[in-house]
Amino acid sequence: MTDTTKQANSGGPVLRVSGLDVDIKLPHSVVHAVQGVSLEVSRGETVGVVGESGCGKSTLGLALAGLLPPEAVARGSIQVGDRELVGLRERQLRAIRGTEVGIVFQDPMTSLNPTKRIGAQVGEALRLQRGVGKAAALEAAADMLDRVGLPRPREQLSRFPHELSGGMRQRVVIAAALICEPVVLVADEPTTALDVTTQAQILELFDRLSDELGMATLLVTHDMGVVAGHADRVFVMYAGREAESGETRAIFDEPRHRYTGALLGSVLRMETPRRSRLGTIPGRPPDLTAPAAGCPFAPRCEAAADDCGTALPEASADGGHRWSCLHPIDSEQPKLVAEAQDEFR
Amino acid sequence: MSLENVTTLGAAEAGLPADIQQPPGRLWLSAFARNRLAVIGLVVIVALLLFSFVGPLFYHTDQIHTRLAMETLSPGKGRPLGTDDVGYDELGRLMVGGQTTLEVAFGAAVVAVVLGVLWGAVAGYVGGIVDGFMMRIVDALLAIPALLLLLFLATVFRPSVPMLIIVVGVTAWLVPARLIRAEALSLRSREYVLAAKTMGVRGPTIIFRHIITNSIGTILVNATFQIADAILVVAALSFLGLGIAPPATNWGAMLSDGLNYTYSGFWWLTYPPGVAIVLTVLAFNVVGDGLRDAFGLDSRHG
Amino acid sequence: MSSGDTAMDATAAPPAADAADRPLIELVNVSKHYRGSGLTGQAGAPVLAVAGVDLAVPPGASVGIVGESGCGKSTLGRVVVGLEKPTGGAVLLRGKRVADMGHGERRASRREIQMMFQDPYAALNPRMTLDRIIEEPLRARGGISRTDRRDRVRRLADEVGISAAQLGRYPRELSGGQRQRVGLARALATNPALIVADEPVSALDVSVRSQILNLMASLQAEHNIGYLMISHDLTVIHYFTDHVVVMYLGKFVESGPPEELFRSPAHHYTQALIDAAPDPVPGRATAVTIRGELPSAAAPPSGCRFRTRCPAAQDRCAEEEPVLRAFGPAHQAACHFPLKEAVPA
Repeated sequence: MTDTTKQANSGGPVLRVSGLDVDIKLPHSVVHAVQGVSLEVSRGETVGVVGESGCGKSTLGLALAGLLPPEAVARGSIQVGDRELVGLRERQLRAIRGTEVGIVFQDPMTSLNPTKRIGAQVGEALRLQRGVGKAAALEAAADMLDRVGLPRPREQLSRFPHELSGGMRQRVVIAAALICEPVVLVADEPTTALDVTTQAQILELFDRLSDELGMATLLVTHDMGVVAGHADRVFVMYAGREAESGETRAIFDEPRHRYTGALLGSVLRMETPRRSRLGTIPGRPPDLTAPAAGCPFAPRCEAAADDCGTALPEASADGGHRWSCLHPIDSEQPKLVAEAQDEFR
Repeated sequence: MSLENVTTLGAAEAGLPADIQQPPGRLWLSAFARNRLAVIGLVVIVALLLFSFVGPLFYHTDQIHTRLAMETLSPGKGRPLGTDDVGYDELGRLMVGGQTTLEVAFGAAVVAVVLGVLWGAVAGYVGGIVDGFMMRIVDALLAIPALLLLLFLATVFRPSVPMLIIVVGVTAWLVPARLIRAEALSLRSREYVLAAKTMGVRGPTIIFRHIITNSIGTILVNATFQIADAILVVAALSFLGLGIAPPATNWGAMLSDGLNYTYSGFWWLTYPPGVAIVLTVLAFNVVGDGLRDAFGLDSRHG
Repeated sequence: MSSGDTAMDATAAPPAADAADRPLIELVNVSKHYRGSGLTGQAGAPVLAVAGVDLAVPPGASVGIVGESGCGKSTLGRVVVGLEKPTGGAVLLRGKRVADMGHGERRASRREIQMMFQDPYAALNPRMTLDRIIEEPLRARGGISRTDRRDRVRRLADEVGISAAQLGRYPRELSGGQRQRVGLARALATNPALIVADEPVSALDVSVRSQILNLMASLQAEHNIGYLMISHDLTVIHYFTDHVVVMYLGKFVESGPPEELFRSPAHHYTQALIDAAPDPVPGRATAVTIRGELPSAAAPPSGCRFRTRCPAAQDRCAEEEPVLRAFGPAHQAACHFPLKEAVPA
């Protein structure tokens, strides 16, 4: 868990997203995967992007990594350092990927080339982007593998991915992502495919690297527990838009957006009384090919009023805590997670 | 352990909620229809079918009696493509030849696919020794050069349309057998197959209901290529003089006969059947490719 | 109900005259080998996926099996449901050995135990409509007219929350949660006494998980079915089951009531799982209390299999394999140096 005072010491944000829209062209329709998203991440800070399927968080991650497919169109602004990513050509994006922005995906099995040795893959970005020679790249790779906690790093250089376990492979992927010391790290569900004990090790690694290397980390995940334990700030997404964002403690202890409240209320915890009636969210996420007017969560919201369906809520803010809800959870009676679950019993 | 996480979709599907209306069951059809080349191929096939089977109803020519006085006349009035070396009208001949060619091709493809699919599905699903035994047979048969086998069979059995269908089919079933066995191997550990087993569904039912129906894509694609191959095989056989006896004919035989006259300048004896063969084979290949793409798309969403 | 209690002489129990109060299914010293795959195609060392376990599931109970990848829990689930035959030991259904049953009797008994799968996208045949999918077990059983089958399908669908209008649809038109409902309806079709649920909610969104768990609980009350729930997620197991077994590398290391187990475990692996599990409470980071990687199942460590990663391992652990001892009523663990005092037998 990173120190929140770090933010004060780290200077301005190195990742600035402003009004980002991503549309994906399908044969017969257009999916508005991301709508009007703005967020900022500073050095050494970890922002957890959470949401359920179809909320657009993966698309957001891909956009930040410069990995949107050809059928996607991005509008708005993504600034890494002082470079604008939106509108760049593939060739230019290639120069940024791996050097300014490091990427870690979910599945370490498919993130690594099974026919190339570990050392070569970790050092690849150095050789391609920085023109580093083979020997020097391997040296740097061994160094990085040591930093990510891989035992006997020099031995591993000549190994192939299938010789390693899932957890070790993910460490290799992280090493490859960080070898050029990028300012931003985008991690899309980096631990979902791993065992829970391995997950804990990798998350601990993320914390340590964030402290040591000071990169801005965007952690995209559906797991509220991961975010609670390892993110400084949380960005909750719903139907392609920002629902709520703020410091982790604020989001969990005093959620304002009704979706956040409902989401937290349906999360299972050890403290959840056995066989109690669990909180759920009725209905399904909206169709992103035809965004309706008004708040996208309104059809499923228990507190929805008439005005929710007509106008898109403007963001309200209280310090660093921001939410887009016309009838937020009452701030005078802050609901703790456990109390929210009480409602559903 | 890897979880099939609902959020790890390709970017194209990342923002796609699962309740987008999909046309029930016909996703591949719309994907196919979008492929212009494949649709053109389909149109060509339909046109050729109509040409061969419906054409003679409109364009009457005598394809039984030879008229040697009329031999090798160049295209002219009343004879759009001239006449061949025994006086048959060439255009009419093309139609009749097309009937045989297409009949044998479709028939052989059906034989090959049915035989191959059943063989491969059983081998792949049952696995173990049975699979090993069945596939060794396939391997052994594949080792025999198909053309030699065909020549042998064609000399032993009097060529007729049914006979050609069987002969060609019997040499062609090995490829679909291998393909479907591979599908069966991968499908038999799918959860829905396991579920069927726990319900007590019997083997043959599982093979038809779950294995073969989910290999339809591969089967259809292979079938179209089988048709294209069969046309070429029949053409080759006829070329070698082992086709069907006159007055029946097929494009391959027409081509081979016509080649005798290349230096005489009787182009209408070689180009029409040649073009017909190439066009048909191309069309089926293109349709096969289109189907493969369409089903590739389907299996990603399914 | 207990598992792994060698004092409970299940093997010596006489065949039951009255099968009704016998455990529905018992596994006695069951093992499952797989021929290891050597890279050169030779048969490698046999992998003991499940190594001599005893398990008894009484009718109507909710038993959980928890563990990480490679622990053998999925294999165990398959042995219970009849998809795999054990290579050692015996499986008894209502007191009668399955190996002694005739073909028809075995098929009939097997129908009493059905399965729910993890992946909602692979659990349903994509080329079958929902009504056919739910109908399939009824057709397989035979002896039910078409109209009766149709009625039953409609009733089952209604019970799980699938409307009659949706019955003509294909699985791809449904969300993950809806597919799991269909899977549940299908499992219920033949009135099973036990449903083996292999990670039933792991692939679902958080808010959908609670819907499915609520549904499973209400169906249990309605139909008096038992569940054998296999999961890596402690919170789900804690919430749903009455009795849980912790597996590691093919063996049971601890078992007992979830509250007691997760509040004061005896085995170090259980403790490690608890420490590593992400908890949606801000500030409570996951802790890594075990080191290293999972050993190869083909060459498990001598003595206690967990000793290579255990913080409390000593010499004795390598020499002698620990046996299950009692730590409370129904609470057992196999450890030489457990976290708490054993209760004298």
